[in-house]
Amino acid sequence: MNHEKIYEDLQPQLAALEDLRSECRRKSKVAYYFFAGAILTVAGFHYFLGSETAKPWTFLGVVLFVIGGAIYAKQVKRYETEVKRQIIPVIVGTISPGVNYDGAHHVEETEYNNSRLFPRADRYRGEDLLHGKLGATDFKISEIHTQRRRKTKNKTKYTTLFKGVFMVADFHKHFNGRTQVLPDTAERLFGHFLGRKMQKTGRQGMELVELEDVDFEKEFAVYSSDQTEARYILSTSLMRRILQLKQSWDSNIYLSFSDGKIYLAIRTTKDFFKVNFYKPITVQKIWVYLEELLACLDMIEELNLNLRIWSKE
Amino acid sequence: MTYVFIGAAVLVFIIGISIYNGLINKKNTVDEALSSVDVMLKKRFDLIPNLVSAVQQYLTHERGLLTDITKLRTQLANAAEMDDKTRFDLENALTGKVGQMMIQVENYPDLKASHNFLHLQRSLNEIEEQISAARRSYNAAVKSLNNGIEMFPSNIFASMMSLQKRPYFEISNTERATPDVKNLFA
Repeated sequence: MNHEKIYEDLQPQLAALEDLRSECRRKSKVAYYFFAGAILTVAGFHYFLGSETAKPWTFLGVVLFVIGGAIYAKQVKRYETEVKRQIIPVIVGTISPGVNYDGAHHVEETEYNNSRLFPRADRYRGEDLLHGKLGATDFKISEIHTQRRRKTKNKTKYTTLFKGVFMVADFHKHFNGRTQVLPDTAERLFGHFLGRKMQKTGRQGMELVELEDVDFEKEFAVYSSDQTEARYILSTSLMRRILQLKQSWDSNIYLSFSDGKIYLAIRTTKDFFKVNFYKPITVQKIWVYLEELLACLDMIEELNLNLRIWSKE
Repeated sequence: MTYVFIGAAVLVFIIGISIYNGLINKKNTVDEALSSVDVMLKKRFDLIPNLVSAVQQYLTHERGLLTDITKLRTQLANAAEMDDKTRFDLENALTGKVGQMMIQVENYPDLKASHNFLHLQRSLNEIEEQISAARRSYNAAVKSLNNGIEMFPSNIFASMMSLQKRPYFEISNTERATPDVKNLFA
């Protein structure tokens, strides 16, 4: 699909969005008065009262600043929501009619927990959900960001467990156990011999599976509840495909197979379908959206999940 | 000094036990993997008569092929009495013949459209893939056992325990060869 054609078809929506953007930008300028007010309050009181007596008034400055920030953020959000509601679904619809886009939602936390790839999260957020059916495969893909709460003496800190793209899809072969493919950090850090010894300790009741593909073994460590089933899932061709996927994203990837599903997590800090509040949507921007969308949907093709030659339909 | 000797003796003893247990563990893993290959091969063994009966009315020109398949299957009926090597060869020959049969099927569109046949074909694909997986895990177990038997110092124990190296489940030449497309359209 040609991005220029999509851009032309979207003209009415784009014009309306451009009006909305100018309106939001105009309204967001109210925030500047608050920012200016905040600076003047703090500076003025310091000047007239001296820094000691002015301290309580600093608080007022902070309040004004926060209000200004909230006004600004509200307008940015308003515009962003509309772009995600009006533009992205149209692009998605033109390239694959069975797929839906929902900017405000994400892959559910239960799916994330079922994958057992990462520890349970205290804070779970996400956006840009793509879901539906591509070929014969039901799937959900979204960005997610999960964090764990850490309490120190007087502060609560959040540390990231996972940030990136998370996919859950129907797997094309029947299986019963649990198999995980993880980045081989032990072997990379401690070398072949020691790394192997460390991996052998196992993970969540699963044992290490040593596979024949040397390149694959270098990048990943595979754990499974069933040695033969792990090899049934990870056919020689799927191992190659996983390696290719890793190369094309150039980041750490994690896979989990359980309950007839495949879970795929790609660590990345990239923000998909980003909306620029300061510039109108150009034809290049449509191209970027299209590329990002294809990168996500291609994962299903790259893993060959639509190949249905086994008894599962 | 005596303590040192006792300590050293205990250490040697512990290492000895762990090597012995390690070898036993490897041998059992091979047996277990072999039995899972067995399960999958048995599944295929049971599927083949259905498959042959589904295709035989169409594949009239390939009677010889079907007879070969049936013959191999009959030979494999007493697989339990064969040694591993002979058996693997027979299974490989069967895989090759079944593969050829599935290629011949391409010439019969009516057959390819039949629901019953499609179901059997999907089941066969699944079983073949499971056999291949079981075979790969058997080979991985054999590799680990054979390493144990050949490498120092576990080789000393292995010869005392009279452990034998096991054969790999290799892919036969017929299976590895790509189908001759020219012959198909001849």
